[in-house]
Amino acid sequence: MSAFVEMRDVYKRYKMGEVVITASDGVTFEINKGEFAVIVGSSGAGKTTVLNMLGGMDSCDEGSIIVDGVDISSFSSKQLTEYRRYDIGFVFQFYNLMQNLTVRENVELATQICKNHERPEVVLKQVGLSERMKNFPSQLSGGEQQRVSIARALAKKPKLLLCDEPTGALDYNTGKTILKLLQDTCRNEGRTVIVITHNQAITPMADRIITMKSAKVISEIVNLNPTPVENIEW
Amino acid sequence: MKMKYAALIKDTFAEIKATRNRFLSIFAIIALGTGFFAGIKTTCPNMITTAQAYYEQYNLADIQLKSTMGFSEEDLNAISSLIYVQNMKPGYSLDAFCNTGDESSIVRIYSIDVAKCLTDGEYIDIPVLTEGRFPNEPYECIVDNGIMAGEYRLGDKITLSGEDNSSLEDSIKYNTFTIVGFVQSVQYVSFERGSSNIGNGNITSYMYVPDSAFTYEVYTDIYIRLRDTASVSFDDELYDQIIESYTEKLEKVADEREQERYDEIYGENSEKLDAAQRELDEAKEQYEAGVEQYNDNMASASRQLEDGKLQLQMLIEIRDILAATQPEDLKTVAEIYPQLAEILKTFGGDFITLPEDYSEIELLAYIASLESLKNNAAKYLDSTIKNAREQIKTGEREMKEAKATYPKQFEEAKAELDKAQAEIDDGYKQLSEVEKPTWYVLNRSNNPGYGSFAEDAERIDKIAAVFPVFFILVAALVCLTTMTRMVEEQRMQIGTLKALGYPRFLIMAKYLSYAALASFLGSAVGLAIGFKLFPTVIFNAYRVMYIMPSIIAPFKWGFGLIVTAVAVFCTTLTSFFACYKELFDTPASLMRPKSPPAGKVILLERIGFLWNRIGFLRKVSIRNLLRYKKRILMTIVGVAGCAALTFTGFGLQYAISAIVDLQYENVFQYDLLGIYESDLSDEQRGEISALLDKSDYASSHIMGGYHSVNASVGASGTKRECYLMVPEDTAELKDYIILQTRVEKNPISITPGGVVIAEKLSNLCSVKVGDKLRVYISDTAYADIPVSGITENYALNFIYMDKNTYEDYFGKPCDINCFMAIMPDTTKNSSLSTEMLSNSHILALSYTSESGKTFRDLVSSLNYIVVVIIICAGALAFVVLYNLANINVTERRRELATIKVLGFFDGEVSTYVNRESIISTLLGIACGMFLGVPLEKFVIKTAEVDSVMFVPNVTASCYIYAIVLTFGFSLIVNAVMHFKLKKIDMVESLKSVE
Ligand SMILES: Nc1ncnc2c1ncn2[C@@H]1O[C@H](COP(=O)(O)OP(=O)(O)O)[C@@H](O)[C@H]1O
Ligand SMILES: [Mg+2]
Repeated sequence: MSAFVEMRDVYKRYKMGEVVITASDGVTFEINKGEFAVIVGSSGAGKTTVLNMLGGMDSCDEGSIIVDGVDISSFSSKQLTEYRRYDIGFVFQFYNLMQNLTVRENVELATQICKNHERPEVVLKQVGLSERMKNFPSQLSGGEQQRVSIARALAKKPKLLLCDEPTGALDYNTGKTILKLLQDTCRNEGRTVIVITHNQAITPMADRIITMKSAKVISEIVNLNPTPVENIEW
Repeated sequence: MKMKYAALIKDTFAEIKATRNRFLSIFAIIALGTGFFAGIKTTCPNMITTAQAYYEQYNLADIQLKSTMGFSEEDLNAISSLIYVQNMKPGYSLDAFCNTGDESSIVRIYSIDVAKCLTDGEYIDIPVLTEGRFPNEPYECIVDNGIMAGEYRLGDKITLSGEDNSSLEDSIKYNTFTIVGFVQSVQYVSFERGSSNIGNGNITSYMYVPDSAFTYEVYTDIYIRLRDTASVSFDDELYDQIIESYTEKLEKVADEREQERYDEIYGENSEKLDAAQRELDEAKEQYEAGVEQYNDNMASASRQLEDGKLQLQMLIEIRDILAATQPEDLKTVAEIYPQLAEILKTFGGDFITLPEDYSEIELLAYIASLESLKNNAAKYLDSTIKNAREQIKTGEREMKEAKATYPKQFEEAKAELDKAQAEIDDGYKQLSEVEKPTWYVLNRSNNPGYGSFAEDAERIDKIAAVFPVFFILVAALVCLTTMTRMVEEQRMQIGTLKALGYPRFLIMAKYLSYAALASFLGSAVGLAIGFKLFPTVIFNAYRVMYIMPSIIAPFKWGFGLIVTAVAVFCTTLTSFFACYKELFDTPASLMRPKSPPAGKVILLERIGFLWNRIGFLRKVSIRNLLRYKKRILMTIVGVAGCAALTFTGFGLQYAISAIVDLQYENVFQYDLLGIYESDLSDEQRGEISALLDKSDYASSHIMGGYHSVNASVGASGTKRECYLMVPEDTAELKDYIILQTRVEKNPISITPGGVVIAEKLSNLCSVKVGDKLRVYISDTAYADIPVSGITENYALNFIYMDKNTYEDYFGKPCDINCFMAIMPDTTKNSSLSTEMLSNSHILALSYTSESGKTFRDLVSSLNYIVVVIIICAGALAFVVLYNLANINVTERRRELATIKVLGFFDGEVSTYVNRESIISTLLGIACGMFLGVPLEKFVIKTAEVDSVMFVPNVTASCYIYAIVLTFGFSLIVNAVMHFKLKKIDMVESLKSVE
């Protein structure tokens, strides 16, 4: 059985005038369905680039990216949009919520365009924000905002949940609850979750740990005994 | 400190480079605003300057003199010696028929002194050669380029004739002239050629022939240029004043010359007549003497004859006596008849005395002597009688002959004398009837098109007064939002600079100079284009109707500087306001990113049943609209401005062009208005009436009085020029002119004791039904008459009155001087004209269809102005909408990238943003319509001239056009935005923190 997500010899180069920066240098890894994967590496290692390509926000220059048996590397921009629309859920470091929409509306924004979606109330309950549905983002704390962002991603019932430094802007405890939420989602719903972090300390919670350095994957470790988030200290 | 400046200047330029689009949008709106303003504003003055230069270059006459008897050398001397006459030109003119194929048209022929025209720069009304050359020979001509160029080529011949193909030899030497050139005359700036008193009265073209081709004894025209007008523009009021005062002076000169010329003509003729009379009197005397002589002669001759006859009788008697007398008795008989004795005496008649004692011989001798005496006497008597008889015969014959000839001769002579006397009497009678010559002092307003040109130019100026206000307002708003956005984006930098200790004004200087530079450059470019473009486009539109050289559109430095200064000041001021707040913030708070405005529950959400019905994305749009209030307001203002301008443009066009249909088709039902002399007798009017009745081209007509009058409110009100129409039969007028209220279309009847007036007149004088209007039929004769009705009317101000009312108020009956006729076929104008002008009392004919057409042509040029307005309005809308949409998109980049990440398709992203812009556009259009209605009313009011009422109500099409166009502009912007949105890079946009 082939992996749910498979990156094979993926190259991504940025031309900065004369200089060519290779942000992905033959990246190859795979992730199975329902796994909680963490991509770890220092800043500038090329993690975001990989995630963007994986999430259909960016295209690769070389190699293939196969998600659920489909090679998305050859997708047109319309196909990529459809792919993002139906298959991907994104969580950003800075939440990227619509300031002008209430919590519920922010989730609705995603469900509006998705055929097979979860009801906003349900996901919001799931992330523990049932009481705050009518609040605007500015009325929420950072962690709460990130939970809204996760709820928005989950409401679409995505095949893949991609999170780029979801705890980067949060304090320790809040970060932990967010990671717990993500891990629970993965465990309870069997959703494939990929989290990017530069924090080596949180890798034990993952099923699969992909380490990147200088645009290359330097190690890919399958962790058969992931530690629950509660037990991790950093 | 110097370093700081240098750094800041460098920074400013770097900023401009980095934010080209923003710089360009300020640049563009300022260029548009200043260019439009300056261009439109200088169009009228430029048009006037152009016309003035044209008039000056070719020495358009200030005044033209015409005289019913022409001008003699003395007249010319009198005029040329006037101190205020710069120079003058005598000339001939003649209207003739010019035959082309079957058609004949009327051409006005002017004389030209070619030699002078070519050498003397001061020569009046120099024709401008457009092709060919000036004539060298008297049989050559140069012709009207505007009209004839299409029909003729150089070298073609023009054949002229008088009325009914009569010869023109009394006026001009040749019937046929060869065209050697095409010209345009400064006297004719439009395509109208004026009117004539021959044919159908409509001159279609003009031509020039050399002076020497004319055979007139006296000049027919004098053209004058005045000294005082040399440096005065024709549009200046001063010009009119100068002309007015010299017209008065010239009229005085004219009076003198008229009198002198009259005396001259009178004197000359009466002297001639007197001499003739004297001669005749002499002849008469001679005749009389002759007759007397004859009678005397005849009497004496017949007396002599009688004497002769008596003598003869006597002689015959004597002869008979003699014959019966014996010689011996002779003596005795002789003693009885002394005459016999006398005769006998001549024959030695002494009777020999027979002695007493006579011998036989003596006796015989005696008897013999007696016998011979008797014989001799008898012989003598016989011959004498014969002679006498012959003499008598001759005398009788002679007398008979004389009787046969002389009386006849006398009779003839008598008749001749009588005839001569009659002629002289006639001459005297004519002399007594000799009229004074009349001089006409005409000014330029007599030149076709001259007046309307100035009016048209002024109209543009009036329209120009309103529009730029919008542009300036919108430019300021665009500047404000753009600069506000710029300052917001640069909070961090401002904070850093503040932290570094830069004084406020230095930091501010960057933004102020940015705005100032953008607006300065924008203004420079806008002016450079606007000064040329708008006057040229508009003037070229007018050149469809006017024959003029291309416009003189200089770059007006003074005006340009003021406009630029105002533009720079406004933008700098707005950018000052934009960064004012930021500069007083603390550096710390400046360096923190300014969070986007927080969401708020809007009022609408509280109305649950409404809010719940709105689709989710629509709700989002509504929220967003209310979030960016300032920008939405700006969009609304910009779009409203555009919509209002467009609406005004279309409204204006409708208001003017609809006049033609409404006035010439709905109000005027008659097809022909004819004016004839106002002092005609009933009989003469009857002839005109009969002529119309007889004509196949006119189906019915009425007569009436049509007079130019003035009207005012009371004694102090401004006098307005209007036309008084007094129908002879008031009841019949309704078939010729429809009198009704404009809005309700209620028919109005002319009631006794009141006047019905045109709506425009009621507006000008602000009188209502029931108010009194003072109607002046002359400067001194007026009456205050109550207004009984206000009627729909657009062109010219009419006053309608019953003829009895007229008589009641003015104390005399109204002079009947016009007829209105309805034609079964309105294409038969010239046929009807030819018929009507056979009556010499008819002065002018004006066809409704032609007036309508002329008016339509006149207003068609306004379409170009409407197009200019609409293009500018569109450009305005485009700049505003694009600028705002651009700001919107850059400011909401992150938000838009997010929804793209969420998987919104390109179309959905565009809709997400454009829905807001469409809603605000719709709101803007709605506001624009509200704004446009009064604006259109205002523009129409300003552009209106006294004699015309623009159609005050607009049609639905004006609304529709304005809405569709404005919406179209907004859609174009949206389409452009679509591509801009497509280009938003999600990765880039989400990477950095705001
Ligand atoms: N749009 C871009 N243009 C040029 N270089 C880029 C771009 N995006 C990323 N890079 C470069 O690619 C490399 C990897 O970046 P990134 O994937 O964001 O790293 P990480 O997320 O691991 O910190 C970095 O050296 C970065 O400078
Ligand atoms: Mg990263």
